[in-house]
Amino acid sequence: MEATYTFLRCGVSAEALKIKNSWAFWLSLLAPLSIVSMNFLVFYFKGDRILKPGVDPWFTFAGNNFTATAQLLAPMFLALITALVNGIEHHANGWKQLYAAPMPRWMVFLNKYLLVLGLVLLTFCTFCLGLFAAGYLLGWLKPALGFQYYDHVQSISLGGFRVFIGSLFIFTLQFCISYRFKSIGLSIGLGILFIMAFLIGSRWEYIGYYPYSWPYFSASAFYMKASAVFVPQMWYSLGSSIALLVLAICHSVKKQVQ
Amino acid sequence: MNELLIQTQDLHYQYGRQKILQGLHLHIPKGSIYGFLGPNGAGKTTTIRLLLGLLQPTRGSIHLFGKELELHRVGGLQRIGTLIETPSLYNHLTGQDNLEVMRRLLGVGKHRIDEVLEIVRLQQDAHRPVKHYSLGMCQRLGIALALLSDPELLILDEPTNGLDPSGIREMRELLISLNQEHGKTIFLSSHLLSEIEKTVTHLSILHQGTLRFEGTVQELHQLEKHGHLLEVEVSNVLSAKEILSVNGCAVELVDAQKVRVKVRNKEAVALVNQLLVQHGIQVTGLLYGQQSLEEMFLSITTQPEPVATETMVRTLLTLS
Repeated sequence: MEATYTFLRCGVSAEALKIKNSWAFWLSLLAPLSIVSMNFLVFYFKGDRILKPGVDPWFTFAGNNFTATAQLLAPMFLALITALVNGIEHHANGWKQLYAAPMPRWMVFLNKYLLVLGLVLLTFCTFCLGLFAAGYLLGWLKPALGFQYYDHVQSISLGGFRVFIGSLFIFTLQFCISYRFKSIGLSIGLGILFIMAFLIGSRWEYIGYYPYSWPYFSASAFYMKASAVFVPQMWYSLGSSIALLVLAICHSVKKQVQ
Repeated sequence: MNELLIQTQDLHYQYGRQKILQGLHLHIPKGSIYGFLGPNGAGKTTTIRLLLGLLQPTRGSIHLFGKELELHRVGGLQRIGTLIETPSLYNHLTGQDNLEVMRRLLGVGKHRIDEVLEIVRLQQDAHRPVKHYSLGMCQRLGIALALLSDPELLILDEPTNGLDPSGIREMRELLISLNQEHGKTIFLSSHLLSEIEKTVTHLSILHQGTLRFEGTVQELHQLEKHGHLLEVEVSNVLSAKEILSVNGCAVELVDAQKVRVKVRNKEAVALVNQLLVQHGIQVTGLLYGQQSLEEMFLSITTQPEPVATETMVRTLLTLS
């Protein structure tokens, strides 16, 4: 057990250094902030038209951020970040070096997976923190909007957590695609294709079973007053991402490095 | 007998229907610089990938440090440093950072980075991004990565690939010093004998997936003494080549007047001459010489064995 922990600690630490001077780290910070900043500008300039007087502005502001993130940002960002991080390894032709390293073969996949999962977590934390900061800043700069009179740290944090869990399967799937295929274009292209399929079929009665809709349904729980912490799509996402992760690790153990 | 660090038994590897390796028996003794020779496509890199567990053999076994690779993979790899084809380098990072990535992965002390940089003489350029490195510097950084864990055995796949003559000489000196001063056993592959013949103590020659020779350099020199080349100046090179080939000789065209024949001894020279003359070919010159090591390597990997004298005698008897 101790050896496994040491292998994981060393492996993830080595993986973390590889993203130094690359776009991957900055993308994790800038992507969530881009959505929040855009919503901030919309509410700063047109807030008085969007919000009704005397109504809690956080509900609309956070809802707008969650919808945009869940529908577009999360799937696009996940396709991009997984392709970028695995692309570093493909570009360096580093798989042979990793699989010839003295550590169990399943660690190669898991180390990288955990690093990117950490980046995704960082993105969602940045998103939530950015959302709070933007809301409180609006309350200070535009007191008429009323942001300063309400406090929603708990419900917004829960909303962020829901989108994160709802996105886990997309993350694992995109990670597997970019791990397997060298072409960054292929993994990003497939990601875009799957998102398009969701947007086109969003009115279909069974769309709730389609993985690329799960972040959206998870985010929608924010609007429901008496919603449980976990909505069904979050369970689907969590369960299927664990199953896919186990399958991918088993497959990576047998990987023949030509 | 020397302790064997690598031993393979009846190693086979098949990719789809294509047989890449057939029945490979390798024995790499401790303390040696072992040259693994063969032309491009002979199966050298595949063998190295099998030795490192990157590929699964179709049949046969691999023992590293006396233990079966499949059962003791991690323990075996902890004692090995590798450079497979081109080094795996992250171009956006500096040389120092590349070493730091590997150091973290291996869990070795920070002091090792300075030590290996000194060995490969890259201290001055350690803080430059790898994308600004020359090919030779990349190769040296690749060796530094392989040395990071202070391994007992270095497995280097064509470390001189793409280097200019001075780079090749530098690499040769580095390998000799690693072997003699740092006590490393080195297994290196190459497709050029001339590049490594001054460096290696042992060598094997791989051709089309089968091992044609394995032994010390002295043993190869012994073999070399048994192989001779005969240059024959004739009136018609094409007919001469055909006649000699039909009679089982390994023949190649030198120019418009000469063919080169591989013979076992001087007696065979007279028989070749007699054979050609009896077929109406005018022989205007015969030059008999010993085969160099390079020619030996080429003949092992490109041509059939020299024809036995008895075969030619039998043909001559039939003719007369």
